[in-house]
Amino acid sequence: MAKTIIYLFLIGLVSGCTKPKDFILLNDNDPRLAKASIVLNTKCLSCHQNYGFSNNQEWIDSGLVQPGDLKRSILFSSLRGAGQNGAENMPPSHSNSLSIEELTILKDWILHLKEHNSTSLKTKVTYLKEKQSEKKLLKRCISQLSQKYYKEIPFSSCEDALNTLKVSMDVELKGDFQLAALRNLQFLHNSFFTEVNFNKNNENWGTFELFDPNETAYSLTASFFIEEIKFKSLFQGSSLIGAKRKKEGVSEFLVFRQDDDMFLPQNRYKWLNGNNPDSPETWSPEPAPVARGQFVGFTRYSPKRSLIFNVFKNNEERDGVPGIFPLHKSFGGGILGSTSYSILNYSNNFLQVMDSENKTMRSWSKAVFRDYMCRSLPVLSIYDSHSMVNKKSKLPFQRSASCLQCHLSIDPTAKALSFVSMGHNNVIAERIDLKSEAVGALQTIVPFDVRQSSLVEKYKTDEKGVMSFRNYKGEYKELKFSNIEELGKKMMLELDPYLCFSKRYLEYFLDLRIDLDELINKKNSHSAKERFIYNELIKLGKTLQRDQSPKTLLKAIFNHDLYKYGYENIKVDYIK
Amino acid sequence: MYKLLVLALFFSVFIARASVVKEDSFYNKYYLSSFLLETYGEKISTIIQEKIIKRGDVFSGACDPYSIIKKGKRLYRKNYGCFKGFHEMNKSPLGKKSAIRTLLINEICSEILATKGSLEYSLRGIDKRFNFVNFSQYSEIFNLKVDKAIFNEFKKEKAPWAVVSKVFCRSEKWQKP
Repeated sequence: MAKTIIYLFLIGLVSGCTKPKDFILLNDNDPRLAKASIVLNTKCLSCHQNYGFSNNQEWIDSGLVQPGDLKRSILFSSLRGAGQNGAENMPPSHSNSLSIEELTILKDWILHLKEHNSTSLKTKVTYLKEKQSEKKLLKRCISQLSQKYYKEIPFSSCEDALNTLKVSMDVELKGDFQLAALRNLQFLHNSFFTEVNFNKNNENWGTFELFDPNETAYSLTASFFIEEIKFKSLFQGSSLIGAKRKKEGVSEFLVFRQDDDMFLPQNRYKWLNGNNPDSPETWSPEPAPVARGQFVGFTRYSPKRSLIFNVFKNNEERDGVPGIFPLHKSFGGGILGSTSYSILNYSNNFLQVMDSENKTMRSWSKAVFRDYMCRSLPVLSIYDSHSMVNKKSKLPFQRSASCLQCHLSIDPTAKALSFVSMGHNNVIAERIDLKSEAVGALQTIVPFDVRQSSLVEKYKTDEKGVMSFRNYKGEYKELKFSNIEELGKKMMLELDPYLCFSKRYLEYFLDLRIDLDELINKKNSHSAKERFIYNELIKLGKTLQRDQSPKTLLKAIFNHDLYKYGYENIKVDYIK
Repeated sequence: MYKLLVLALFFSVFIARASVVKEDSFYNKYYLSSFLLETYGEKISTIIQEKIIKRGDVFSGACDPYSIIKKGKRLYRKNYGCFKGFHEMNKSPLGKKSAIRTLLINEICSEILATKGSLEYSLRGIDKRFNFVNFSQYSEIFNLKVDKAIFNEFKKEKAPWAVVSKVFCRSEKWQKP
């Protein structure tokens, strides 16, 4: 916004406040851009007022221009006489077509844009300070891993400490540091997944009695502590991992907060099918609530855990959706289709059947890009969406290239989970408000497979889809899949998810904030330090992809100069 | 026109979003609690529970509602409770600088040093005579580097160890990675 205001102000100054977007004000000293801008001002911008960019990078970032590539530069290939097998329908009026000289100016500009591309430049690192002493480094990594202070550290190196962080499935982890690290890494992993329904004001703890919202993060923590669990295996299968807890007492329902105190409302609530406390139907057998007690390890949920026999929104719809659904079985693709992750990223109406047009699992799809790729939409360029515009479509977003820039990624990806919907079940609360003794119902959200319910007749779509995005190199990618399981497998063949998780560990342990979108978008104009971080991230991502172990990734981070010297103490220059 | 181009370039560089930023984060409430309890002793545990553990909104650090269980009438592992609601489960793992944070730390340190026996506990293993060697040894606990000039400042105080401890407790050095 501020940038726009300044541009408008500057443009106003030189233009005598004529129509502000009719020409480009340059802030790039490239003479070819200057010449090209004159052509564009004269022939294009009177209609395409949104594309009056002032420097080469903005043109590249817009996706209209691809450095050195006339065919993929939509700005050029759309022009009459361009000869690149493009639309060649611009400008619309033949009489206003570009002359050969004008086409040459644009061609010359685009072909030479490659010189501005910094991707091939090498960097040189200078250290501004001595690296931290081994003692300090050890203290730092121990504190970061455990978020606990140790006066005496019982390890000789960070790697030693990391090697002690291991446990087998269904076995209790021992040791003060190990348990602190287990808890802290789980908390760190929780923060990686920003589920859309989680922070709503009406936090529904009835749902959290049955589903641990951090289920997705447990799998990641398990792949850290259990050597046999490879990172990519988290994205496959229907079996899910939960927390193993040391049970030291009994608590039938979650302890919740009221009036700044902690309450234990056990025995006051019952699992019921229905929301009428006067004529309750018992949910039998009772579902297994999330385990309680100190977090000490991991366990695999039994696929038959917590079968639900009816899902409905209210009494009228009670008979509408008969079926038997296991509540703790992934819909496929491991953590991608976990029940907890589906609930927390569902934003349609209850009992909605997806049609893959207006009604899709868009929130979930967006979450997949955000949580597993560290990317925010759009992840396609305007070039990718331009040719897909359908001006006659009944769906408004298909009529605009900028809308399609996001929809082309999220809608076909959302098909992977198109067979899922949500219903309500209820926990009847005899007395929710312990002070006023008021009676109320706690609704519990329950996901189910539409294909196995009476709603199957309304289900007219399938799960075949495609995940399209520009990857970390800016290359166009299409991951075609026939179901969510295949989507998980194909995602794990790409470097992008590995880059994403490497970025998150790097951020935590180096106290950095890395905007992956920005780092990718600016890849042709990185500062030397950005280029260095980008390259190191790729190396770390490849380490994770090769070894499939977040622990090995952390070892690489602790041994990295960035960790030993500190980001702020490293100077990076391009070698000319 | 040339000046304008330079100006425009300056503004665009100035406003452009950085893709990598060095943060200024702090350890979270669990580290802070653990450090202060280890340094000043268990007598300060009520202060820690009320002013740090319950203030995830200020000091960060997530919570685990499933860790709390009941045995008889006792509640266990209250430290990991979600005191401001379930959304605390996703709280950032690192703390951020804020005026409230500084104020609270100042208040906590004053209360800790007003707790009988806490100063003595923090000085365990250190010779109580106020000289530069002992002063330096004490500063290491708080991850601080001190010099003679700083020492001389404190030396003027009537009860130097109490003042030193409060100042060190309030410093940011021990709270940061």
